[in-house]
Amino acid sequence: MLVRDYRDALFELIARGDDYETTVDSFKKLLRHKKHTKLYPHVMKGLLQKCIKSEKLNTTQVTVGRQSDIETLKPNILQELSLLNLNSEFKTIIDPGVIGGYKVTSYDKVVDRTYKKKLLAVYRSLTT
Amino acid sequence: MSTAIIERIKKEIESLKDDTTFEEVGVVVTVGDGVAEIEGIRGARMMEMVLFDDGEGKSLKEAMQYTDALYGLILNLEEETVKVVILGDTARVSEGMQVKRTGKLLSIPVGEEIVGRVVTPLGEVLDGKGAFKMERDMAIERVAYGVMDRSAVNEPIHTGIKAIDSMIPIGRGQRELIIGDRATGKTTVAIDTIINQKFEPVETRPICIYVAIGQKESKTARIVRELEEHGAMEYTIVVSTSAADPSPLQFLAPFAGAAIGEFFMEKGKDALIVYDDLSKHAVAYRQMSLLLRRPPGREAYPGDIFYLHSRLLERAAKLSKELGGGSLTALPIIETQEGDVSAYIPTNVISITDGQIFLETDLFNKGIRPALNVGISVSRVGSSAQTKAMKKVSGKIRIELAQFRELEAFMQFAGDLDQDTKNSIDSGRRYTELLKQDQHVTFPFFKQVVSIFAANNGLFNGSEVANVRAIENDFLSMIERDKKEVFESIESERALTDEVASELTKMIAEFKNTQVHYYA
Repeated sequence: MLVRDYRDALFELIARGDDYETTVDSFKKLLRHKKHTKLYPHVMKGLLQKCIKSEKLNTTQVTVGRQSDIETLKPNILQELSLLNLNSEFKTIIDPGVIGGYKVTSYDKVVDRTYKKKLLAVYRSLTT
Repeated sequence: MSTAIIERIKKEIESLKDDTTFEEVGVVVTVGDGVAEIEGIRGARMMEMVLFDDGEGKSLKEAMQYTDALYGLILNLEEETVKVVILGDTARVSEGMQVKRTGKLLSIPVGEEIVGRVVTPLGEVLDGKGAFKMERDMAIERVAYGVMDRSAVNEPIHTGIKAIDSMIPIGRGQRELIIGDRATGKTTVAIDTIINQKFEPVETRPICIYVAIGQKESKTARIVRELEEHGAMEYTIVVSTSAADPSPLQFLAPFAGAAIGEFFMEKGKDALIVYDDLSKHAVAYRQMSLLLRRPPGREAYPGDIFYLHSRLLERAAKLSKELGGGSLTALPIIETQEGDVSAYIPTNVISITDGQIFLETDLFNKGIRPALNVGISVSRVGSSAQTKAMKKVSGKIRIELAQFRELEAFMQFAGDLDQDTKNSIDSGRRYTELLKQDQHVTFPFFKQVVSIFAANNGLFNGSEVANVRAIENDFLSMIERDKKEVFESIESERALTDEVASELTKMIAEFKNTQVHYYA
């Protein structure tokens, strides 16, 4: 509980624009004063996860197998983004492992239309 | 490549229609000891299945290393994360892995073809005989039927064990606990009950389900072999989790068995389920709960350990005619330590069930097998679950044994007792000897009726106690050979008519005249 409270407080301060170094130094002083220094690694780890989560919330990723697939599949991708009520701006990731198709990922939603997923599903249903 | 495989692949590809819905995903934050903590799955539900995307970040070839998908079960809903028990190989899960909601509660595929098979709690087959045809997905966790959906328990389920069928009768839809120390014959009582169902007509024969919870695989294999040898696997399903299986699978096993039983019950059939054993089930649940960081209570068991077993056992029922009249009879097994029936888990389950069968080590060691203590064993359904024939003959045996137990303490003073007391003791000894049975040798109920009737009417009077079982055997063989219609009458009418009773009395006299070597 205490770790979460410290983490949330730090996150709020950094998110509103306070200087990172100053904020963290003040936080360390507070921990020393309260004799909670052992919580520092856990708070920082929690803060990192929260920052990554926050970034993911604001970022949409589209994974394709080749660069050229972005242009070919753009109409489908934009349709998926509108279905998910997401911004039409996205970050592209090239992963040859998906073979073909695309995958749209926001923080907690995904639309996976990759060939890899389909082939894996066929393989598992045939072998089990 | 064969045509069949090509057709199958074509079918699979046709089924790959793109749906327009998105999947909700989360990320594994921590994993260890079979439990994964996942962040991000909003709207997750309790007991919902999730799918671990262990192919993420790997090539297709690497992802195809595993032929099955890896599922988890949500068991803790916390403020920012959910805790999931992994239903499979924990080594496949890593931090940062994506996890998808399936939107489905945990269920097991069931069909008529599951009969005769050995399966896991997730419905995967273990006997190497290929997949079975699925008719329905039965939810593993279900609310039990309500009061108005049930009817009275009034049909017997015959165990084939004389001591139980005569004095502790079990009805279809009842929960009867089998409790005792290790190696007292608890599993044998349950397996004999299953084997005895082969004497039932096919139309009324219950489908039997044996749930092995955390048992040695060698024991489960031996049980399956014994059932096959006695022809009982034709109507039996085995749900198996071994001691090596993760605790979540052991936790799910009895619920999966109950789901299978309910499938048949809802079709209007009768089913019998054996939970072997709920002590190991409680231990597995405790382990899982501690790993989920649920607060420990008495003996480190979680606070809802009673609810675990009460909701499981409540699913045994006898349904009303409107719902098909089917039934699910439960025989849970509990292992005690040094005969302590006042321990936590045994007292919990005793208070839930409709009766108990106590098996004692002392009786077992004295050679009284099955080692039933009929004095403290009880069936709360009682004679409502007995045929008329059995009701007629079982009254006297109960009284004789009760008197014998009271007089046992005086046996050491045998020289000082009066003749009546000596006669009571001798009679009690003969009845005790009569109630002994070999392992896996069951008696259909009509033979039990004849055997007990003969005992009540002096067949064993004048004989040595050691000869009782031989006399019984020969007498039943004589009737089988010369007067088979006696058995047929009792079997069909389920009652002991005056004509049959008089015929049996004549047979007893005839036997005693011809087999004089048994009588001093």
